[in-house]
Amino acid sequence: MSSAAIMDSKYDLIIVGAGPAGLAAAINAHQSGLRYVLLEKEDHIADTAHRYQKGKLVMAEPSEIPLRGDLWLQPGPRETVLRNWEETVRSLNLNLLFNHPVRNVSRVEECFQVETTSSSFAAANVVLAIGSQGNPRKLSVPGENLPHVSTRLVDPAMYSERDIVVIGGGDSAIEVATALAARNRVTMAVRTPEFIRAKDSQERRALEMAKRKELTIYFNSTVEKFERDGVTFGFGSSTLKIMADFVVVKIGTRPPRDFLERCGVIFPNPDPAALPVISASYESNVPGLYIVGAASGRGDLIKHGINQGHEVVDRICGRNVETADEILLKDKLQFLQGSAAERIQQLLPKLPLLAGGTEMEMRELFYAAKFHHVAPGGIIFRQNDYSESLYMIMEGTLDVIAKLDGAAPVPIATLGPGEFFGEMSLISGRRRSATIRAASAAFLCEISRKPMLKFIHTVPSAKAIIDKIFLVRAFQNNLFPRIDHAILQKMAEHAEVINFNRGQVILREGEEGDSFYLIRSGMVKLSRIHQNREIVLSYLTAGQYFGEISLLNGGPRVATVTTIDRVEVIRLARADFWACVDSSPGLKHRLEQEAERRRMRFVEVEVRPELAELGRFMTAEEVIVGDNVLLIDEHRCIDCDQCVRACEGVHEDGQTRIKRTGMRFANVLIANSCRHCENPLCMTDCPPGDAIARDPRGEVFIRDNCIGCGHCATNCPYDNIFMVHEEPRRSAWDWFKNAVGAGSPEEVQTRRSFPVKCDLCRDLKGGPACVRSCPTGAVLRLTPGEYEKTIEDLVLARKESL
Amino acid sequence: MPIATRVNINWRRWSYLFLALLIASYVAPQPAAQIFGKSPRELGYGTLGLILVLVLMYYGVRKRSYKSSWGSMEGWLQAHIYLGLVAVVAVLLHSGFRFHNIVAIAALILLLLVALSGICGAVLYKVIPPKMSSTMSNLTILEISEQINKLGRSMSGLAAGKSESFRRIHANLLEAERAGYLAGWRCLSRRYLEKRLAQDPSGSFDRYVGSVPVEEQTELAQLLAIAHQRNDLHDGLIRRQRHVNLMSAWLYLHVPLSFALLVAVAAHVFGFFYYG
Repeated sequence: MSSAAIMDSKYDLIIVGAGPAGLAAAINAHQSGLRYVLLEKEDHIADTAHRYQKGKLVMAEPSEIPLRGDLWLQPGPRETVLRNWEETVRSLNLNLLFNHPVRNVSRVEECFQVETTSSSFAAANVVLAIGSQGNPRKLSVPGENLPHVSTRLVDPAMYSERDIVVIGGGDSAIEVATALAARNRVTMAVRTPEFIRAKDSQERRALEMAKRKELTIYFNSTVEKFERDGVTFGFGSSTLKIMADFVVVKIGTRPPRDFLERCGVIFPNPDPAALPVISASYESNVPGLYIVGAASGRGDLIKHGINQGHEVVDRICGRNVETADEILLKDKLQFLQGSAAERIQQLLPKLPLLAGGTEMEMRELFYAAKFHHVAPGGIIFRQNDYSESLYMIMEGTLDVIAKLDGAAPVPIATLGPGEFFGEMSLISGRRRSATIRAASAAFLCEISRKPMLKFIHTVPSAKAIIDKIFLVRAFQNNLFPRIDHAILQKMAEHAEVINFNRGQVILREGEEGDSFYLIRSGMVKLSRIHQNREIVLSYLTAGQYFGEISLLNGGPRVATVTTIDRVEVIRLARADFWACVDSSPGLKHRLEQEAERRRMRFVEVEVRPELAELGRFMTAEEVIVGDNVLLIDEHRCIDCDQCVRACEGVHEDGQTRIKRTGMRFANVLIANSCRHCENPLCMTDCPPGDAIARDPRGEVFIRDNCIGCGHCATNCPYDNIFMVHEEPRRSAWDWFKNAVGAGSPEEVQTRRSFPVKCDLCRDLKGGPACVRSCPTGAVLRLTPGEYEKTIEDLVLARKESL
Repeated sequence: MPIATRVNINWRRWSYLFLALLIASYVAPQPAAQIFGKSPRELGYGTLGLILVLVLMYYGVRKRSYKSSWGSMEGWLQAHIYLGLVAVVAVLLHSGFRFHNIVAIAALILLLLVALSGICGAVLYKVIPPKMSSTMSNLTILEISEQINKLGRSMSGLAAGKSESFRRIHANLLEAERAGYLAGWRCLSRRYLEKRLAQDPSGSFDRYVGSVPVEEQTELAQLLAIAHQRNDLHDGLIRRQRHVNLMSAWLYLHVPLSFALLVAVAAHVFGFFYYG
């Protein structure tokens, strides 16, 4: 076809790829009256979403950014999202051509020639919305093309009682393996020594299933070959063949760099992770060639892709619109001038913590930012509040005030512009360790936990700054409040931060004591061997310390310290410990007092076996990780179920949040009801981000924007979140109609399931209804300071009554 | 050492105080030639008794007002128990220990029965829970029932397609475990309980082996093993359910009598105002 002929049939716009970005561009082009065509290589739209397994949840993050255009997007199952998109294509009658894989895009004089396998098209502008999922990585081993080896799982329900192997160690591989493991014999093969790319919640799910023998995982394994009946793996010098009826390979995809470079797009360097060079309006170095969505490297979230697809057509039409996040960011930073990028640059000198981030990273961080003007004397947060944001000081000074050992609050530090605070709760998830009060008029930037943690883990310089300050403040707040700052800084330089997994021994009874430890996050138990049995003496949490007894008296370790969950500790060697103690007046006396108290407690536990057994129970059943635990004294419980009925009665959905089942110790039942854990695992994998949240008073509760995905229920290790169907409230008339057979079946609607959990009746005066409604006082809700003593008393009262 | 209660008012002490005041006021001299039951003092006792009866009846309303923060149910129950005793004394003092009016006598008898059943209930609430906790499993009563049903389905699965004698053994095993008419009430009786616990319908394999074909004997052994497990679960369930029933059986007397008392009191008060 000659150039002239091509130009005669020239489109205003060709869009390549019918994913969300391409569809959004096509919709805007259609509504703008452009001559356009949307080319898709498959016979369906949105191939990436199409390849998701059945029922997989599609998210609509980031929630702060508005959605541009008319392409529907709400969190929900993949099927719902695809159905809505297909309906949009049909109703608008978009000019969409399936089965047109694009081979090349080249510029011919003033227009582009787009060649597919069967046709050629011309256009003044081309938008590439080709995503990054098109090219699954290959293992390049024999048998990879056998029919039972696939890179996708269509529907887990199709497989039952099969031997299945899943290859890969990322989120997709774990999702596939855990979905199949319920009804099949599943083996995972991971190339690395552990899961390094997966989200924490996914990793935890897989490891717990492996612990329960519901899933087999082989780390450090490489695939040697696929055969019709199995897969052969290599482990160093040995091999192992695993039987497999079906194999799923989930090792990621290659980005479309080759294709883009053939189109003339420039990359800044040969690094495979490098992003194509594009302008703020998504135009590449080739005039008229635009790249949007995941292919640009700046739109890996669906919402970003949709917004970019919509905006690029606005630009092509000459409408100078701002991007969705530009408006949001300018609104947030309204006290500055210029574009969003310029305003962020103006802020950076005042926020040195953020200096190492890229523009994209900082834009994402500021989506969640809030700015506060605080009058002198204003309280930002109080000691023991539950809040997890990080604050950066832009103007003004603030006092840090803390109560130590039950004494009156004392000021322990003053912070000024450029400094930050709140990092201790951000990292450990625990209550605020001090009160922050404005000493003068102050201007603060607040960033909430999730985006701040993501930034810290992505930007090494930010992590280094936070880690260093954290050490200084951990020592200052917990041990040495009046010590000179220079000494604290020096101590922090000598301190070592060490991570331990769950169940690891940090130090053993009888060893020589050479270090002092401060717990940064997590929990540990202290135990001894007494008459050939392990006795749990005590447990310690973040902000508490251990190892001081043997340093003070020069003897061996008096107990073994083992982690209960993942723990991070700060370790000070003996010489540094003594240097600090000698520099801090009164500290030695305090440490000796606490050491004596602990020694007395150890003796008490050793001579009373029921206390030792109680300690073992509290740590083994993880009662102590809860911030508010429901106990039932079965010596008072009359089995009336009033607590359950009250819980049903005070909630609109009519569902109880407690069950009178659970673990028992003597006559004490730790009932199944949310424990409002200090480190809530239920909150780690919430698609809307904040549907399950924590109140400043500590209650963990579920918000109205919950989409019912059930991740929180799955992640709760204690089965204290229940997935239920809403029970419609029936009036007396409904009851009568049903009784006489006049109830209408059409009134029964499909009820979705949703999670319920105890929220401590946060909206009710008087506190938890279960406690108030128990006629015999058998139901108790206790906080961490009360557990041991109360359960001890309940058990002793039982012994006395017997 | 008792756990500190969440009840702010010590109802026991207050009721002792009320009783002391009532008795002191009764023994104090009063003007002569007053019509018994109708002197200002005795009417005062009657009014107090009426108010207390109404407050005691309100317990049932408060129990179902789950959102109410007007005291805890623990406090309400203690108030209900102790003020109930005060109410009995107040009504007796109101009567002047003279009984001529049939409606008044009926109300008094009902009050005494209600109080007595209530005292039985309070004693049961104190005595039964410690006994019950020793028989607790980690399953609820509903979950144990579901397990029993599941085992029953397994037994039926084994019996399906077998010989007549096998199926008869299966039917007999299920029939023997059937609860029977008014079992919930009968299990309150210790003799019934002991009889139930003593029986084990599965017996020994030797008892049944001759009556089934040889090729079914392996499955017969399985059937008997499941029946034995089922019997054990049943025993635990009966013990537990008996305790639960003991703690609620008295309510079948206490609550209807309370409503009957309310009617009698209303009739008595009406009679007083109508007849003077």
